[in-house]
Amino acid sequence: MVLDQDDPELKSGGPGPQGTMSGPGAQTSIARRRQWLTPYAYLSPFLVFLAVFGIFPILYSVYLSLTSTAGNGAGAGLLSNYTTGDRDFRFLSSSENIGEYVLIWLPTLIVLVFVAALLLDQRPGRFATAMRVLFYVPGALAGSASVLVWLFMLDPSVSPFKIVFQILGLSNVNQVITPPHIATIVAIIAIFTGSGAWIVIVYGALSGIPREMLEAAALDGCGQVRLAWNIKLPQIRRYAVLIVVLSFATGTQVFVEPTILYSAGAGFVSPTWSINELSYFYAFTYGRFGVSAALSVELFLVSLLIAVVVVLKTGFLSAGQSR
Amino acid sequence: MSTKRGWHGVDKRPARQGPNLTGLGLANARLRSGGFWLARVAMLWALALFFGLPLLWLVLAPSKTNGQLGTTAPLSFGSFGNYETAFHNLFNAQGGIFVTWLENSFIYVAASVAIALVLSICAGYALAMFQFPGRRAVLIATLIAMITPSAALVLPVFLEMSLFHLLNTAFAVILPSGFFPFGAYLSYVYFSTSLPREIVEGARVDGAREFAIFRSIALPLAKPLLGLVGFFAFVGQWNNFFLVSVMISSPGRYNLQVGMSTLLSGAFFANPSVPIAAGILRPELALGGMLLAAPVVVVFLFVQRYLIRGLLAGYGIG
Repeated sequence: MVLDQDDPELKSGGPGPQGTMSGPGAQTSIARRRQWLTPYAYLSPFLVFLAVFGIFPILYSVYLSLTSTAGNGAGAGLLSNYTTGDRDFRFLSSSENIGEYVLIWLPTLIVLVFVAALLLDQRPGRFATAMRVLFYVPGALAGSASVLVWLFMLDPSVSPFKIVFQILGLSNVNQVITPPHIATIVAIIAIFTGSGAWIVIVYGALSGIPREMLEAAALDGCGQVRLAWNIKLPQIRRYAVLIVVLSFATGTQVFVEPTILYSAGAGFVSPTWSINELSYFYAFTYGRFGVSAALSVELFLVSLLIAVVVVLKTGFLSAGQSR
Repeated sequence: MSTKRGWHGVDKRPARQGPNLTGLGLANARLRSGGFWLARVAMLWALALFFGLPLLWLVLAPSKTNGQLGTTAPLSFGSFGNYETAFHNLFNAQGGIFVTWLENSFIYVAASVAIALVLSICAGYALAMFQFPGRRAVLIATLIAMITPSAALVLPVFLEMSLFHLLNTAFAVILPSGFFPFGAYLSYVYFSTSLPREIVEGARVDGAREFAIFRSIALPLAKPLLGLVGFFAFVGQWNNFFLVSVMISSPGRYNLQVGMSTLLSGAFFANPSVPIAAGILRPELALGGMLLAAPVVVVFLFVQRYLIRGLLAGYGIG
């Protein structure tokens, strides 16, 4: 066995760290302590990063949001950074933008993911596998690449979807990319890049449905559509909940796409289109870190609440799994 | 459950042909579902066009000149010479800054992926192989951190980095990206399912040191895991826009994502024939987008089976 060469007795000339060998009591207790420490030794680098880049930034933001008066003038109250952020006229419109985006994006995502996964599962094979890969590949395009591609796709003069714009009566990019369309455009980009991973997951869950159940239903004369609707869908419904909840958390955080649209020269896209952008704007344009921190803390709390509920109240991720 | 999927082996799922595709059932099903079959294929092709056409267009666009893009059919091919021209223009724009961004991307990615790998593998190993006080708390914290969108932490980490005077340095990008809770969770799931505890305990009884067990039993088993965590960390970091755009203010230190977004400026809405940066027109932008996506697409196509299995394992399927 490979391990033999690492036999502690050969190398250190003492009893092993397990204390399994008969040795003086003092050495055994040192060994026990060492064994007790082992898991923490493996964990510590990760825990340090969790503390420094997960927990501390949030605590520091809370602290800043409650105490920082940079750019506020003196004598502000404890929650003044929060009221400043929340009463900002842009906060309302940013919230509306995000709400509109999520309302367009989430239902479309759910329907598309489930329809695609059910259609693929209906006849697994080479065609289904190829399709699944095709749906997942756009996930490689993020940020600048996805916005860039869709700026072209939404320009009727170069787009391969020209016919869609003709049907809609839009002939010029300035008619397509307009302020009322931004939420839809951001939703299209998110669906283009983000659906594939969910399709893979739901498809994977579908293949886990016991065959016997499907065979029994088919023997009873159940057609494909009813099989999908009455047998398969109830088995995977919980994934819809997971997708909605997790996507909602991500949706409230939207920053990249509207920011790149703005910097791509779509000057009519507000630089404070989303709440994260507004928070960024406060830090960078006004230097008011307190307000920026307050907005980030509020956004973070939404995500944290969702994450805690998903982890503790649903059975998706097995944290308590004891073996 | 009849569908067990191994981490290492091929897909062990019995090929499910659809229960009614044999014998009489097949004929009946076909008769009943001819319309359904058509609807299914039509819907799948519609989806394929939505996901596929933009990719196809992106690959073809740099084969045309800026003028041809607007006048020729969207999916037509121009010439290979135009790729060369676009390549030349893109790499020479602004004194070759595209190359600088490419280098920065490689440095940020390599450093943060290395950190993420070490942290994740060690943490996942500890969580899977030991029972210790606080284990459940760490697991729950890891899950919560994994589910919280990374964007939620960017501005708080920015405020932190400003406190430590690390803004506009590589550290501000690399260190926060090294924290990758999904990797730790994936490692935990991996070791829990593919490394039997009895082997580890047996080695311990035989007197092997803990680190020797980790190095000679766990690590060799974890090669697919290294690839998996490495890939997901790589994609996240290669495509990192928000963090870099907030932390870095000097264009010379941008990564490719943020750099490309500055090239987009004005190219679409002002006047598409007036380049913002010398030589950067729509074919150059398309080529830039293609190069930005290429590394991820290539890696993905090569290892997609592993990735899909890892993705599923992350959500407790399979």
